[in-house]
Amino acid sequence: MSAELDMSQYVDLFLQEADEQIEILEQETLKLEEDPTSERLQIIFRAAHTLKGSSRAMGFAGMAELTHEMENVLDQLREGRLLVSTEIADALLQCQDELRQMVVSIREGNGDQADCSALVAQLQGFVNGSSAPAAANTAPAAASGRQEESLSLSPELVDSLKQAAEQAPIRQLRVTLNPECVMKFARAYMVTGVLTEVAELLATVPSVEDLEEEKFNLQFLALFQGGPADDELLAQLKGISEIDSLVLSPWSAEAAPELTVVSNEAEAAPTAPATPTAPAAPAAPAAPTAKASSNDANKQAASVSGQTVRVDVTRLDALMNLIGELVIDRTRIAQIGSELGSKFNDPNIDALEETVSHIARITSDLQDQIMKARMMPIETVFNRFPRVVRDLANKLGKDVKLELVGGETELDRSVIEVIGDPLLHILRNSVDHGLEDPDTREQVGKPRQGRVLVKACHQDNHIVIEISDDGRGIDAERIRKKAVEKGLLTKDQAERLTEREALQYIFSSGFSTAAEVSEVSGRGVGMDIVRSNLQRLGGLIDLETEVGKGTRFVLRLPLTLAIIRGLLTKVGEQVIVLPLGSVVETLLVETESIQSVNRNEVIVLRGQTLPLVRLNDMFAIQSREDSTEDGQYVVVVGLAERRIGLAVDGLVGEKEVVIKSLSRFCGEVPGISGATILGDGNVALIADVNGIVLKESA
Amino acid sequence: MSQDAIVGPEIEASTSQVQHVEDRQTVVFRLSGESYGIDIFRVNEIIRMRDITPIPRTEAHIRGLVNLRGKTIPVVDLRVRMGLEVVEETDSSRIIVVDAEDGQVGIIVDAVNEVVTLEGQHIEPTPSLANDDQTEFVEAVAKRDAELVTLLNLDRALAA
Repeated sequence: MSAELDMSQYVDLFLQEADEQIEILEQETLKLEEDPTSERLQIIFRAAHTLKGSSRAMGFAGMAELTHEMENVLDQLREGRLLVSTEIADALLQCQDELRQMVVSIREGNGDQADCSALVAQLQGFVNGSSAPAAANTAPAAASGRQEESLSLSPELVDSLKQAAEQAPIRQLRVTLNPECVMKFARAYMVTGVLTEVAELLATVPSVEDLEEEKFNLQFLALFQGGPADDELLAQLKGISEIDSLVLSPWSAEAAPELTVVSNEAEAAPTAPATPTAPAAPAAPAAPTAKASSNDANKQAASVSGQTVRVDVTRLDALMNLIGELVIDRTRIAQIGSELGSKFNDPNIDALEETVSHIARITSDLQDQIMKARMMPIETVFNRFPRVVRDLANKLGKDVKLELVGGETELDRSVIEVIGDPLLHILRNSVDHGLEDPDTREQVGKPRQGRVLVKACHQDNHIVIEISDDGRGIDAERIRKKAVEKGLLTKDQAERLTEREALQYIFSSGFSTAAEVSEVSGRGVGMDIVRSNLQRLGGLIDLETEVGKGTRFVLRLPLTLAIIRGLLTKVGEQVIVLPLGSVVETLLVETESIQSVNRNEVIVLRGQTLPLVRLNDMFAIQSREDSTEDGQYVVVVGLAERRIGLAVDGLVGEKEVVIKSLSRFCGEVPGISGATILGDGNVALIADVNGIVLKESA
Repeated sequence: MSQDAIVGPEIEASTSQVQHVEDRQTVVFRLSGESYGIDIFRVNEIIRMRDITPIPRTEAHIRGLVNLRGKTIPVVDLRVRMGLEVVEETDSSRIIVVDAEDGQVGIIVDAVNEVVTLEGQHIEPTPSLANDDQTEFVEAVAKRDAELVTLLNLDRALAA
């Protein structure tokens, strides 16, 4: 099947939807084994069905075939003729993998290339092997009841449309399909697709679900608000093939009850254009979102479609950048204002300052709002986990219960994007190394099923993610031994390490305590990368463990990577920004109290000896000559329990700064994590405090 | 060029309207007493000198970062890069903002003269054998009136 229409403009839309549906498929299939309710099967069925419809409409035959077979199996499950088994769940999950592959391939412009004949055969095997009804014939076909419902416009729909009409006029589109049309739902899908894209589609009659299941004759109605003028819209829809007529007309509530039932009319004269004055509206048993039972309770809620808009992330990023510039200019104006204020005495300057502070409020609100718009629930990351853990547990012969808590915790997209892999890595480690196999667990008196908990929550301006298991824990003694074997430490050094310090060695490169290298983890690349990736984000990772009881990794990450609060310090003539999150305290120490140990400078603070790092040496900046007269400014910074002092020439103040990454042109610059623009328009560098602490306190 | 000139591709070429395939619209600038040219399609804008924040521990020719309307872009000292004598910037010094592989990069030049169309017949590619600092980055030499314009190979000049 090939439509004459240029499909390319729909591909993005299709891919987006495909991603969503595959996600639903996977999530629900994973829950299916534990909880095979008919509702769940219905959800899965619908997702497969939607995919089938849209992939067919787009001409991706391979995907359509696979989803069709999935649908057959799901249908049998739904009707109780098949029972959910691990084999079926596995096969369904494999299908989802295959579908993902196809999506990737389509996205790369290669079409839905994939050979899934084996899978298809397997699925067909399930269906054929089940021709006799299974004993447990529980779930009656959920969908079958629908056809019996009456074909009159539901009062709820009229009500909600009436209310929506108060805000903007509603138009209706009557579509008559060609009687020879073989794929009615595909055509309907394309029509509603266009309407959703260019206008606000409020409802279809019959409902979208019924359209998908082809529970309509040759005509259907789409009710929508906004969008281009009639001619223009019709022109856009004309490209869809196998449509006999398109009739656009305004919708009004008064006309609604006197409608002819479409099915009759369609049978009588399928190609006749409907009279525009008599808008037809047969039944819509399930009116979309609007459940406005109390009519005038809330007009907001009455607008029929959902109150969300899909926005391309690059637009949000652009918006964020613009606001960043606005923040910079705001600071700049404030500075000019105060400079003027100190020079002149003019009421206009007061007015300026007032206005500036108002702008400041607005920009920070704006910033908050856009930050919120960029927030995503961490669920999007968590959703990958059940599948990974399931596969891993099967492969390793372990029984694992994964609990995910706090999936609704929101954080910035920028963090979401980078946090997935590190988390996955730790999770794999927990299942692979942390948890014992069921027999061993039984011997030590634990339940056979191991437990892994992933939990996210907000804490101040950070998100804290914990990954804990009730496995064997990490033996500090073994780590000491291993570190000596690997030549990372001498025996002496190893013995002097506290337990906590010893544990930190699992984050060193080339360190793995797994007895054997497994396919899953244990190649000794990993935890070091995990940690350095996290630190690059300004995050921390820590672990607690108790031998025999389990291990708990705790990750602490900033909510956003776009803006930080920074302490502005002077180094020579340059301003260096230190992320405030790492700053423990600031001191002015007497020059004499700086001591030297092994030619390294240290300061003693409340009995603790801290290495002192001079930022001007580190950054090869000429120090100001007067800087040491009345003592030395020291900023104490910390990473986990490590503390070091950074010697600077002066303290300027505390400011919110927008982080700009260093151009790749500059390469990796040790000690510098980025740059920002100050209120005076100058560029200042942001120090990579975590990196410096790690390097200097090692 | 006394103004804070913003030279964009939309500015008409000042000379020949005859179109040969290999004619090149070129931004011509001065460096150490000689004329150099960069393909105009690589040039985003030309800005006056402004405060440059040095980045520690980077290569000598990377002078630092400047604020370009809220963006921070790295700036390269072309004199250092080409092994020429380093002098103080003057009032006529400019930063030419160009598109490089890794995003926008500014290059410091002594002065920006004009935008010209160099005729294809007057452009001679340089032998690729030469590889001392000053010729390594040269792509071709063009004759224009009595003057020679050295056309830079920007990618090589900006490569690490």
